[in-house]
Amino acid sequence: MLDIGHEKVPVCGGVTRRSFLTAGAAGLAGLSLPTLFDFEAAGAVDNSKAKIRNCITIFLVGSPGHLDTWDMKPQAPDDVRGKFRPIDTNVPGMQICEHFPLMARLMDRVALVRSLYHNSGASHENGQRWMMTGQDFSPNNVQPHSGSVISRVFGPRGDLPASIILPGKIGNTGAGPYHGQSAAYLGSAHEPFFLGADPANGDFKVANLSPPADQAEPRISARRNLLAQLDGLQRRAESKSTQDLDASYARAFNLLTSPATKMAFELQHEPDKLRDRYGRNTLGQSCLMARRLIETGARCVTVNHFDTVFSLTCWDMHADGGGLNNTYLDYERHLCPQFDQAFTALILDLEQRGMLQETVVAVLSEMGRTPKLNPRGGRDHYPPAWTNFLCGGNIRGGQAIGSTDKLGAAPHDYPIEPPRLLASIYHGMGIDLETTMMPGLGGRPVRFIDAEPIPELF
Amino acid sequence: MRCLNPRSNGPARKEQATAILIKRLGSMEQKFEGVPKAEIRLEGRRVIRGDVTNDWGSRLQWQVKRDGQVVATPPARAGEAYEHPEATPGEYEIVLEMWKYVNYAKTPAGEFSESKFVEISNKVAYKI
Repeated sequence: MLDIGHEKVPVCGGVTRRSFLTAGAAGLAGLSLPTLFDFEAAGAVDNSKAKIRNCITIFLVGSPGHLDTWDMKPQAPDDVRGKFRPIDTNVPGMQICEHFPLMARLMDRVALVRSLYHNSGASHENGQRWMMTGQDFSPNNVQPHSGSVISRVFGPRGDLPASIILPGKIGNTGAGPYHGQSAAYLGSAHEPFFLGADPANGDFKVANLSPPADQAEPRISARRNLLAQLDGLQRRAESKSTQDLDASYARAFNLLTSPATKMAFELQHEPDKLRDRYGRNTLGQSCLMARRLIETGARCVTVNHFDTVFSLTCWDMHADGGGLNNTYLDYERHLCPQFDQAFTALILDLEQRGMLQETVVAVLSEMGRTPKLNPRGGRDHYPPAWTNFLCGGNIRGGQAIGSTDKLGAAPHDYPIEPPRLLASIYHGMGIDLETTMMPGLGGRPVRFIDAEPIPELF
Repeated sequence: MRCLNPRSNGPARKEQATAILIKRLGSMEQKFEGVPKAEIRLEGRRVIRGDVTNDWGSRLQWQVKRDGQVVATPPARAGEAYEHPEATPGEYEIVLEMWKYVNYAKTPAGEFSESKFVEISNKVAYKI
């Protein structure tokens, strides 16, 4: 019996529209391959329909204001339209912020979704959970990160983990530790690999990939063999958690000993000119590393742009004069130029390497920002409306899906809830959302994701 | 463990607690290393830049001075060439500059107190 997560999923009599999946238990080396084959055999994944093989998510932690970036309202009153002006793009009739001039030349590749909204609380964490997992959740019902889901369905491709998060974990963003970037009930075998270091630093190295000086490879191999022998003695008592742990150990050993996986993290192999084009900063170099990791076999790379919103320049533009004092100057001088540089470098780099047609690049954020400027000239949290976008794979670029009203205060047409973005990515990867189930509360099977793909994206 | 000031108000107390937590857990505040460099040249009144090496990716702009005073700071990222439209007589000098982020500290007036623009190119000059 195949467990999706730690819950056994019963098989209904006969093959029905909502069929459940089964597979034989697998040994250490082959734990993931039978899973994908069984998904395919059950019709839950159709590779012939999968145009998207890889996913790079740039997660703009802190949340840019939609009215200052990709949904500008130049005709709105002064205290709504803000300081920035819109510029034309290479898509007739589509305008974006003047501080994204490089992106303005590539909008024919980009599908804006301008009518996102959610009804949960206005904390960063509510939005993080929505965008990373497809739903908000409580500590009693933690849901898996989309990268972990992709890892579970498709398994790793080579020695790299299927899901990797750069440059590190989201830390304190104000309302608790649940950011939606764990494997949850899918188990440790599908936990994202967190880089835990800044690839823009001159002395960057991945600490977890550098064994201590006294642990030469022959010693590591000897320990791996000993572990395998011990495991063999315990197979009669094998449980799901043991299988997860076996897969985790295998992944760890592969990371430590595989030259190809180590090289994937080594940006010094890239030309200086390309590293400059991405921008010598955390976001830029993380995006470059994401491309390398996808090339080497990772399926899903998430780049967290910032790990906190406190006391540093980030998108959280409260202008409060204290620890949340980001203003228009931060956007103009630092954030918008860096994003413009890194995002366009990534898209063009993927395109030139022939990778963009199989890789979706999703730029996501937690929520929008208040349409009316606050008394200090900033904007505060605003879940009722915002803009995110997708590019690559079989995503149809050069369009804006949905719109907001004249003030950017609410969707004017086609309101879209966050899980539909993930549903669209899963759909693009060939996953049949109608027939693929996951265990819910109390073990009852529930839909893979409770949302429909956005048909206009394809 | 550092103790919070029991007399501080709610928002300040929360910010203090947050600062302690960030210090303990560490925040990946990026540090910009090296020095960006670019060469610029003048063709008539049109200034042209080359590629920027060690590019921090922050705002890149031309600084245009007339008779020693800054008269314009147009963006330089999107295009490699710029011609200042003004024809007021004077001694013009142009240099390329980039925003150097040190931290996000700001003055009460809202301007950055430590982060600033730094010159990254040679200077060119012409006279009208």
